[in-house]
Amino acid sequence: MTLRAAITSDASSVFLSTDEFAETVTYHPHTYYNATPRSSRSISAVVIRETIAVLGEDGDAVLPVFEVHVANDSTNGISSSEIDLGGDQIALAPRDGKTAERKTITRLMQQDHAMLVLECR
Amino acid sequence: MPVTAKRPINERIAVEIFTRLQRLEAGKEDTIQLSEVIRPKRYATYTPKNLQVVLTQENPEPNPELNLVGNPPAVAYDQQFNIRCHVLPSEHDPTSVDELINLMTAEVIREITSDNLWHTFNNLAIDASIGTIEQIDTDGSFDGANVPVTVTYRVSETDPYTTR
Repeated sequence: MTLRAAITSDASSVFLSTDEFAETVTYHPHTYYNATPRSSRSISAVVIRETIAVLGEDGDAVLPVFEVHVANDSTNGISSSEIDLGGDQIALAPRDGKTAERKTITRLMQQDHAMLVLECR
Repeated sequence: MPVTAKRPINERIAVEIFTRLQRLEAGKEDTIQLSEVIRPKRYATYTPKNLQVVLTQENPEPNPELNLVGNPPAVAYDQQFNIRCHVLPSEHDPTSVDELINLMTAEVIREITSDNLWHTFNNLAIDASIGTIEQIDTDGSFDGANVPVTVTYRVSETDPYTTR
């Protein structure tokens, strides 16, 4: 196994193990008008919560920001080729123990062959 | 706060603006349909969506030129409401973001001012005006524009629930 393949495998089997730091969230892909519908699926993710960001120069709106680490994979995670930063959402618990709520994926913060780091608001 | 509590004039104006904006959620034959209209809580729980409107307000500014003498006197305020139009189109949408913003802001202004006496907000205000549309800077996560609406109203100094 090459180093590249080993790191890719570890991303799913170690870093994104729900026995370790990861949790199960639901990916809801957006379907553009008249396109073939894409179905939702459960995936593993590491979610970093409770960062507050102020929107607008006047600072009159604040939104919680979530940093979501997922596998760059179209089965166990989200592949970088399928993601739509104009409507795709992830359902996650805004606080530990609370019911999951859909949050829009607003930015692709980092990407490599193994993983994606997404910003959700 | 219980919904049944009595509302001061500026809150009743906010509700009227909110109600007018909500008409755009239903959609019309010749224009775009808003996805949702929101007045955020202190800790905002909404998620950004395409064609979403968020209504906020700034501090009421005293307008002493329109005060009235009396006992108690009547005091006038300019209250700015911010109608924040959010645009987050699909990556597959060929429409330009500027076009979406132009359509959305135009529709918001048309709906807010659709009545001949729109500026009184059901006899709650003296005057109202639409300010300069400002682009919303959200560090690249989504786009949009703010439509500021400044509403001038006058209440009794000791009773902000009653217009004068």
